[in-house]
Amino acid sequence: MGTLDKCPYCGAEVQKRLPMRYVRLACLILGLLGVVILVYAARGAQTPLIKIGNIGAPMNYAYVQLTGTVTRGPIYDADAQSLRFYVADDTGEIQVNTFRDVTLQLIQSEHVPAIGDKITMEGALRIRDEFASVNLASADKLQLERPTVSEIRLADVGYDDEFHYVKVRGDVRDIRQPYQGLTLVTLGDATGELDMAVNSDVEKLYGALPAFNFGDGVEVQGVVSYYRDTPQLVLRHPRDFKQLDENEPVVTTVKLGELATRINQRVRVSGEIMRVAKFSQGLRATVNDDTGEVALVLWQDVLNQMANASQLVTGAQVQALGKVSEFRGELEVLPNRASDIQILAPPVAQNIATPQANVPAPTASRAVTPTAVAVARSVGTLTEDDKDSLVIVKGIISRADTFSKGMRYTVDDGTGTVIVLGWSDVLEDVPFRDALVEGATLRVTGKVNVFNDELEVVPARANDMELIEVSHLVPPTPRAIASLSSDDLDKQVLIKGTVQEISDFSAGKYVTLQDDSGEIQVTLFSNVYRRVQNKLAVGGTVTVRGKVNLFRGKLEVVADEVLF
Amino acid sequence: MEYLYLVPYAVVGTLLASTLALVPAMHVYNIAGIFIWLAVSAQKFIGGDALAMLLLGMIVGYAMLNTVSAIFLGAPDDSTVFIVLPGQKYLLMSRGFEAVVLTGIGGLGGILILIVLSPIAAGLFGALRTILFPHLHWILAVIIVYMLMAEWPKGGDRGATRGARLWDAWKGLGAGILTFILSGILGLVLMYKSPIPLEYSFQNLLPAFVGLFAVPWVLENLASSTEIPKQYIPTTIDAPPSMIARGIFSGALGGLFAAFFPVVTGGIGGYLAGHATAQRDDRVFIISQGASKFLYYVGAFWLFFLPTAGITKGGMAGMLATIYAPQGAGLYYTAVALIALCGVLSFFLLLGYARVAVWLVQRVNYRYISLVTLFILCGVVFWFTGVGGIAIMLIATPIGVLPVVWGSRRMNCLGVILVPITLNLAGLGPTVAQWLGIV
Amino acid sequence: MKGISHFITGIAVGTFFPDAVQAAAAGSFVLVLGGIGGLLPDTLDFKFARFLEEPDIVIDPHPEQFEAQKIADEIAAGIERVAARKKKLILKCSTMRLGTDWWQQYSLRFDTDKNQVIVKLGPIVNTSQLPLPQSEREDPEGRAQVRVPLMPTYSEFTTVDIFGGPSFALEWRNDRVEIDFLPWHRQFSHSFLMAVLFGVLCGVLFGTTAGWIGGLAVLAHVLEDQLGYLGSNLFAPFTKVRTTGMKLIHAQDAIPNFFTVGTMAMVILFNLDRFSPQPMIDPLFYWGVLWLPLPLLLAYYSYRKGSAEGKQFVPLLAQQEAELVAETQEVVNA
Repeated sequence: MGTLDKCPYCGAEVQKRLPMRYVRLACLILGLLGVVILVYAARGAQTPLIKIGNIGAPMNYAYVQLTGTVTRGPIYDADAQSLRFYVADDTGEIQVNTFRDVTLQLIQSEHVPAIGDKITMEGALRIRDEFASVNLASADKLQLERPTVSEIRLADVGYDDEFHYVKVRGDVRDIRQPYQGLTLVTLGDATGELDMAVNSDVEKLYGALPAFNFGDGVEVQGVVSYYRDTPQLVLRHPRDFKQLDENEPVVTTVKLGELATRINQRVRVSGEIMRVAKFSQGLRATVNDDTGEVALVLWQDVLNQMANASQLVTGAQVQALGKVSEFRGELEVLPNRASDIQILAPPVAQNIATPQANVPAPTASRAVTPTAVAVARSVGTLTEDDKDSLVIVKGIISRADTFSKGMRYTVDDGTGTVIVLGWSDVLEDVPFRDALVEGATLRVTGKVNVFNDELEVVPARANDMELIEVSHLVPPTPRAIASLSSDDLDKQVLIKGTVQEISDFSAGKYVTLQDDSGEIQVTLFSNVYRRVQNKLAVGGTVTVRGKVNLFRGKLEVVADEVLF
Repeated sequence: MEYLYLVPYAVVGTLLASTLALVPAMHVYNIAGIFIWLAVSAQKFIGGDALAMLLLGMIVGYAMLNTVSAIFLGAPDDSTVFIVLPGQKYLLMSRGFEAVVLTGIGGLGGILILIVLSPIAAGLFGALRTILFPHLHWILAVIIVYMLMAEWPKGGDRGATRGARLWDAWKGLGAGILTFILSGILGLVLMYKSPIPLEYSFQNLLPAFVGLFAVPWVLENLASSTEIPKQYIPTTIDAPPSMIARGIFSGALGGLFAAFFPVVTGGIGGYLAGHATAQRDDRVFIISQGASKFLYYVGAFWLFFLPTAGITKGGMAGMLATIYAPQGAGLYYTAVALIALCGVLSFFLLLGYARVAVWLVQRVNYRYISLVTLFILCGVVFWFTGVGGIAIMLIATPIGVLPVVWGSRRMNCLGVILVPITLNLAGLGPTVAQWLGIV
Repeated sequence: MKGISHFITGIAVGTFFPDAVQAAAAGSFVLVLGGIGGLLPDTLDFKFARFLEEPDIVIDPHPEQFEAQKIADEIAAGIERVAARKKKLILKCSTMRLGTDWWQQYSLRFDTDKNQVIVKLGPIVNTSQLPLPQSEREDPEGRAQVRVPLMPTYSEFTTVDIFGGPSFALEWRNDRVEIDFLPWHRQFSHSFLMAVLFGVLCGVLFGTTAGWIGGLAVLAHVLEDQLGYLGSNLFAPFTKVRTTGMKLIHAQDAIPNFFTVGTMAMVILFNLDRFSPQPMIDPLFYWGVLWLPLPLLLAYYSYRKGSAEGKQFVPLLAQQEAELVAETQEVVNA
């Protein structure tokens, strides 16, 4: 360095040392060569294949290859552009994550893993607090083997079919939403029933399922999985769900005379109720269709679900879907749920006479006539012994609550309170329906029912309801959304705000309502939504009257009424 | 009172680290790795909060004491490498002890900074994380760009022609860029096709860092005929309070920046902070590097305990996070208190160990020390990562020697982590790896 | 200003573009162009222009055979040649490196009162320009008379110690020989046209917003440099001479640099937040409370600088020299 012969720093004599340029050149060559050799060796090396059960904490950040079957997912977060699914081999299960570009590539190439797929993938392990996951390196490091589908009957689905891709046919027997994001559709064929699980992430990725209703015949392809020992069919893609032609029913209607050959099958029967007998755990109705007789056995829990159980009387025409069984030599049909039973026609009607009320002439809302004389009663005198009696009550509405099938009005006549149960199909034809609010005076003719140890009066048609006087209560001012708390549970409130979002669930719509103080979810059951569906839109301002509820730990308002 | 039982664990951790910090190239992550591995494989013979505090004590002790081996034994890691040059300058001026004490003062300042920040840290770092998280990839990219652009040529003044002068200037710069690229490729290979056994993946970078930083220093020591002059152990330190304050402040900026940002090491943080505060004096620089190093190691671990913020940064926290998650504000403030306690303990240990190191270098030829260091380095690499690790170390060593012989920055070797992580954050890691054919 | 101040200013400029911030959050690297633009002018000078200069007179002394008079005579002869031929000459003064961290300093003075060139050997200094105690030698200084008027446009006094050593342009202007310090620095690279060109280049390659970011980052560098003493040739190539700066700060001063870096870091954070989907920073608290220490610090600096310059004479020349070195000096020589 410099012009010195001897380095004053380290004492080295310059002329006797190895020229620096040789050292520099050697380092350059060795450095380049080393990296080239390393890259060459790396190209030839295989990514290590690892069993999920062998993954341990010291392997954090290791780049590995995994094979297995997708057991859960995909769970899609559109905001974060991430996908999550779970893969299992014979040693364990691991979560797999994809982000941003990788997620988009998988979606665009329709290469998103679904339950039942066999996959081979490469990615980097991430282990945190003993929880292991793997981040997929790139979309082309994921190889999928889609399963082949096999047709199966619902009753035949068993543990051996777990993660198999099967095709079934059935009628839609039930639709429910155990929690937001999952819809369970019960399918029934002639052999049994099975739940089909529809994850909202599938709809987010691929679009909504085709619309369907109770009783529709459908063909579904899905993967069998187990939820706590209960089998279910997990839908992988909306295209796997098809509606069947009306002309090819899944469960056929069978004459009663043929039932002896259908034991343990699910069938549809119809006929006239000849006898009705209660027993400790339910009700047995003997049904006859001129070819034979069968006992229709309705367990108490099914009866409790039925809104019109009181119409199961001698002479009524009934249709039922249920499993055929034999009990003490007698054939029985056992429906599973209320929706399996339909009253086709009530028994032949008798005249109604009301001594006091100005009862309007019957309309054509239902082609029925009352079978008994309606008696005006004070609410305080009604007891359980009055069950099935036709009564007239009059009082002030102290409360109006929505439920999935209609409205429940608490009517107080000064001697007591009773629930007046207005079914949606009845209320639809009531011209003053919007006036049925707290404070209004109502006269109702209907049959007394007992439900959950509570007395109800159930009008059969719109004309059975009469508005005596409108409410004079001053409508409350809307409350700030943020002021709602758990102290308001089950209370009627009025809130006002701007609609931020409208989303579907099986029984109606969820609406996110926002005011200056905050936002809250408002549940509109179908009966409420139908009345406002043409006016309700994102960005619009609405006032909602409803009851504060707690759903999955969060406050919501179940709307009785939506005003604009 | 419920956390009082953790004090002995922290103190034991500090004492353990203080012993091991003297061993050249024995990185604290190696020791932590042993403990983590034992905790995992031996049915958690020590686990939970006790393990966490033991590791906390270790990292505090190491952060304070590793300067001794870096300066006296010439075996720095990625974070001490910037202390070593001025530190060795002091060593050759018989003031090695002073250099060590200056870094210790910086470390004490780092403890003060942590205590002052502790009440507001959760909110502060949580908010910073929320704002900056989507931008990490380009922030790392600007750090890389600055590192490369801000390296000024050291030669170029004596060539006869323009071309000769340009070549003289750019050979160093070019070597720097080449060092960055080669170390970046090395990092990418380690990320996707590491020859290190899977069971030791958490030590993936160990052989690379040893080869890029420690071995070149040791080889340089062996090649030169440096004789360490008699060392003077002063009773006072030539550093006025304003200088100490400036150094601590500058180091705190750099250290906290490095503690918070992924991939950024204490050296990079100290380098940036030094530029930002326009340091010129070696003493300020050494103090700032002491604070930066301390806050980088300990700060990253401290962030791990932050309630609600949930920041895992740094090798130690990253390793511990695989088997443990801290809970609650009580544990957090206990950790802060133990950092202070163990930090002060470490400082006093530092004074003692520095004297031991002075005694050692004056009685044992520096070359012998460096030779032993080299053997220890190879042994540590082989113990943890096997033959694959030795191969990586051998490949990394000439890359690490490039800056030494071509006059460029050793910091360019940090491409080994900067390149793969930045590419991955931008979603380009697998793409580039595919270009190289390694994936 | 230090390089990091320019760099972070360039990035801060980029964050004022909402689409750039949003693109950055989505994976783009467009904001890096701001940093590159911020540092580009000095990169072009110190990594290219400096080495492309062809010196006509090279002073390359030996530390143990330093002949001050001979050096002074050579420089004086060069000045007179310029006056006679009216042709510009470049004078290069090389440094004398003694070791990794040690340099032999010498000084050069263009005495305009006596029309003399004075050369004197100084102490041994380290790379931080701190002298090694008792390293001054009693060598005689060299003095050479010059028969033409001299005008150093930057400073009369220059020390030559570390790194490459300065160069001077000796040019006949305004009936005298004007001496420009580091003629290759802050010319075209620090002009408005440079900002435009870089902006256009970025725009063509990466889009309009990228173009604005690149161009404005270079412009910010140029304007920041105007706060100092050396100035820039703002309208190059249409003008040949550097304008002087506003002389408000010195490049090596810690507080203005720290103020710049700190403020720009806060600007970047503020912009990243306000252009995010859910901003969380309260501007009033952020700028009214958190930022407040920085301008207070700058005010303190200004007060101390004003009172110091009034009370004691600090050779401006030495300050300017130190400033220039500070711009190029590496803090970390690792």
